[in-house]
Amino acid sequence: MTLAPTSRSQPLERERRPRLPRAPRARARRWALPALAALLAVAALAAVCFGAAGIAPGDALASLAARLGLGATPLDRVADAIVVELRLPRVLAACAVGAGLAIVGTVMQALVRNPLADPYLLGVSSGASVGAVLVLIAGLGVLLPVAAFAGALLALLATLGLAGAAGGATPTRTVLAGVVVASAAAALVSLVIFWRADGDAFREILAWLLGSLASIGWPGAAIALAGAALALPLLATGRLLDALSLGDGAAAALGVDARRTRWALLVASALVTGVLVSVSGAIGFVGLVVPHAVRLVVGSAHALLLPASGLAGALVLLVADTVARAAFDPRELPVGIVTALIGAPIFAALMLSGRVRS
Amino acid sequence: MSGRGLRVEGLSVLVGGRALVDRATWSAPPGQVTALVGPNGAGKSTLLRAIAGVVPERARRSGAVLLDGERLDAMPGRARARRVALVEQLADGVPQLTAREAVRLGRTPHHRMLGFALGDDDHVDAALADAGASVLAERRLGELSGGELQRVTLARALAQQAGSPAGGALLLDEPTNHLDIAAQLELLALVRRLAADRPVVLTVHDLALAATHADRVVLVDRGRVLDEGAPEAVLTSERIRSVYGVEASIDADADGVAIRYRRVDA
Repeated sequence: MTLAPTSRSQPLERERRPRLPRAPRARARRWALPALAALLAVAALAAVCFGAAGIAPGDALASLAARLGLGATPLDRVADAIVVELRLPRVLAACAVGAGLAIVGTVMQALVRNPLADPYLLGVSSGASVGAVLVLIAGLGVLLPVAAFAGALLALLATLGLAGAAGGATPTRTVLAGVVVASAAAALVSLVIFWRADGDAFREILAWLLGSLASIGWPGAAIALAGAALALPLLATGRLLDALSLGDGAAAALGVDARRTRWALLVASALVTGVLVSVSGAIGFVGLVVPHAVRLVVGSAHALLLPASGLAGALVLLVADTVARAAFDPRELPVGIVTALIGAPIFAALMLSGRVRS
Repeated sequence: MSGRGLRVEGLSVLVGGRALVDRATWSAPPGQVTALVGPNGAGKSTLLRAIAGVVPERARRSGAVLLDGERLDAMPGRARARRVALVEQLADGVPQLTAREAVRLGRTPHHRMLGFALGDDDHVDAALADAGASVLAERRLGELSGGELQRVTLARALAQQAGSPAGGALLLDEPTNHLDIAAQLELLALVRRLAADRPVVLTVHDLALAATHADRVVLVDRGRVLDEGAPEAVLTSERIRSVYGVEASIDADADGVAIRYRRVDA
């Protein structure tokens, strides 16, 4: 039944012909990557300079150059420490998590041919939440990344096991199995909180559940960068994703074993998500909305869509995180609130314009 | 058995205990257009897809498919995909892809699974030109008419086989469906050109169209091949009555074949 071509829905699709966006102009496609990279560089520099203690861009660059042994004069100790110990790891972590989530979201949407797919499709973030909440309640916060990743892995195994036992990882079965596992994990989280959490632990837990990059240092940034590095091979799957988007039958006629490929890419994507979530919590909407928005500009072919989504995801999360730490200074918002506040209206606008398609 | 062209020997597709295709044996020589005809549910599409390596979930396939004497069914997926291309019924489900991007997908079996190289522009351009789809290259699939979409899908199939030293076979499932008369004739002329140097197999419901435009007809019913050969030998009034249960009067002249049908009174 997964082999049924989409021919039946084709006439319907074509009735809406006037609403389809026009083919992306070659110019937009050529300039998308350089433009996004330049924007990201500017935003990263601005984010390092921006905050309670303002730092001039020249000083920040000088501080970095000195640390890299390029011979510039170092700044005074405090400013140097703010740049290198506080803001730089956080900026790098935001970029890494944002890029990773957007890439994985793009991959997931193609794999299950569902525009609502996001990096948390397989229940990975819910599983991670169980692990995270347990160690936060136990007061073992240092173990958080380990526990969260373990929870993510368990959830992944449960989802794939369930889909496999039901007959194989077809798009529909994968989505349904993910929904089941995520619901069960969410119930566990609620149960633990209800049973045990007091005021402080509760705030910590809430911040983690919403997704936050506050108090991330170099160790956390290193984990986030490792997660993003794991996502890099996914950039080379463009051709496979294009073939899969035609349907399992058409992919098979092109020599692509849809079921095996989908299985491998789902596991790889979920592992990336597990690593990212272990340091950032489940930041919502980046992995869902960014691929849709980028698709409007560069088109649906994944060779370009994947890297462009990665850069755009990094940019979006970096800006959101900077807003999260600066908007209510000295208090910080969990960045997940900011991405949801920005992401929900954007997604609604895309939906209303009829442009949300996988 | 060797010999040029496509040869299907004892091909079966079983789902559970049921045979969707039952020991089908027939052949499609190069340079000819072969039409698979038969009632709804006869197994024409399943047969065509099984040749291209597409079988339903939990189905078993047995038998042999040979192209120029080589076993297609024993080849790894990518090697097979370079030899045989399948065009399904208006099946391109990604309306935002441009025609060029869709045709480039045909190059999938010529590359490693993972990689960045787009390349192959020469083959893609040539395939678009051969299918008469060059002017559509930058249009999105969702904006195309049925006939235009069919040309783009054909171009993808051509791109899939381009650059292979060995010859390929082209399989078209209901290519004239949803097309108006002019688009049908245009497509059939294109198919005729493409058949010059390869076997082309198409499924079709319109028996008069099959009799007029195909060199060979393979009649399929309930998964079995009942007969194959020249259209006038296979598509007789008796055969049509026994397979479809309708009376048919067949008129053939130099311009083609016309068939009038009448229900058989119970």
